[in-house]
Amino acid sequence: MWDVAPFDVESLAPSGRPDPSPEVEAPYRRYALTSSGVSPRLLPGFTAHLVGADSHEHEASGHITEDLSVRPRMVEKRRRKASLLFDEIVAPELDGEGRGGLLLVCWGSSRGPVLETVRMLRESGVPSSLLHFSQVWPVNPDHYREALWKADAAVAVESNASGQFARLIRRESGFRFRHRVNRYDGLPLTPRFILEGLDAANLLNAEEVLHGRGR
Amino acid sequence: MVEVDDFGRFETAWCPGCGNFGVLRAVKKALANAGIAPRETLFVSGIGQAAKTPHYLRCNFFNGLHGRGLPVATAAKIANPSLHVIYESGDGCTYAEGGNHFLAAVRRNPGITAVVHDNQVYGLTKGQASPTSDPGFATKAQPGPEGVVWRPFNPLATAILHGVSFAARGYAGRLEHLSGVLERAFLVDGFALVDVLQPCPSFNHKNSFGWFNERVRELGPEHDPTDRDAAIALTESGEEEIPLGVFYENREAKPFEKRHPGAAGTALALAGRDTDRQAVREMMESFF
Repeated sequence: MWDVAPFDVESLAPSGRPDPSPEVEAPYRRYALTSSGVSPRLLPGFTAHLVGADSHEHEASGHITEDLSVRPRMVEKRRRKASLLFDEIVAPELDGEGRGGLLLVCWGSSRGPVLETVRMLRESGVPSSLLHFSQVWPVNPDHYREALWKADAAVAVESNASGQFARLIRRESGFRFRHRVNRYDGLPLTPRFILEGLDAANLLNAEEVLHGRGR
Repeated sequence: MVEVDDFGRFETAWCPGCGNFGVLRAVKKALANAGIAPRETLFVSGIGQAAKTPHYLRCNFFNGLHGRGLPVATAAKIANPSLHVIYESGDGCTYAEGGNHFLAAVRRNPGITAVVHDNQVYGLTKGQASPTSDPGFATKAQPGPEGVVWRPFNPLATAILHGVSFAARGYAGRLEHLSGVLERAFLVDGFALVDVLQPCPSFNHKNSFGWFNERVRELGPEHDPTDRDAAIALTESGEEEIPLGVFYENREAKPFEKRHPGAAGTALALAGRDTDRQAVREMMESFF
């Protein structure tokens, strides 16, 4: 009766809330320069320490500054933090063999129609895989390089005119998509649209796949 | 016992003779007199010279985006009602870029004090007209002889019309009076707007200390701040005689954080960390 499985409520992780009153040394500095780049976070009003946050460039205390030597140190701190994030990148999902055959690459909410297309192709005897990115930045080429280079034809399927993600992947990994399916008429991607795009790229015959399924 | 010196002394980026110095001194004095210690405060500001005030105070602070201080302050008050949340920014940030947030704040009546440094000009960007600039005020962007051709925004009347808890006008050139008004405002349980007339000697050569000193008049006991019509009339006094003081008090208005169904009553940070799975499941199933 349902198109999707009920959401697994039991899998919900506890919500991340900061410890309201951890032990920290005085003087407390919200943006203290640390080797990891991550600074101790306090909430205002729960400890003896004062907490300041600012949208401008700031000193470790959070106060604004026009001292130019502060800026490079804060930029370097943010880069150290970013390198921690790099280790926690969510790898793309590979559904299928990933070697030879068609590889449809997509991201975000395109997953549903692209996965449906991949399944229709397999039922029609066309070896096909899905590579879906739920995280689009940052990306780690080690996660997807092999799948892209080992496919017979990798196709970037996107809901934009210019192939934004395909271009990002090229910049980050050097891989150049030879085929793209782009929808930019304002409607969501559907299997029919994707199959017709693959047909237009001379990768298959869309009518055979659509009729092969009795549609 | 809280002392003025608890709030520290800092070098500022303000011009010599700026009205902001008087507002800063009055704020510190009012906090000390009200017995509010630095760690009990949260100052929230936007962008502008006035918005730098939290950097010249020992306090908790959040200095964010232009015009966006009031929603942050409102949320912070709901998240931790025990904090004294004080919004402090200028007339441009509050009434122009933050105009819609100002309207939402006067309708919601959150328990925060808004100290608006009203110098009737954009000082940070060197002298364009603001929403409270006088008609005919000439600037580089609104050149004479016409100058400003819009009607000025009336923030106090807007707040009073919407029944906020407290609406007052102060003046940066009357430190004792201003700190007295602020002290009362800090202790209001609801939205307290204090619009502070603040001369800008660099970019507003009309509304100077001398100009204000000849015109301001402190309200006496004959004014009843629960009289809404009288309060609104004070905001339309014209510029011959400019009243100062507590224009309006609405003692029946309840603060947003005590009426909002989502507000926990205690600080969110102290609320339970576990997800109520049953509640989530019931909500999900309500869509089946």
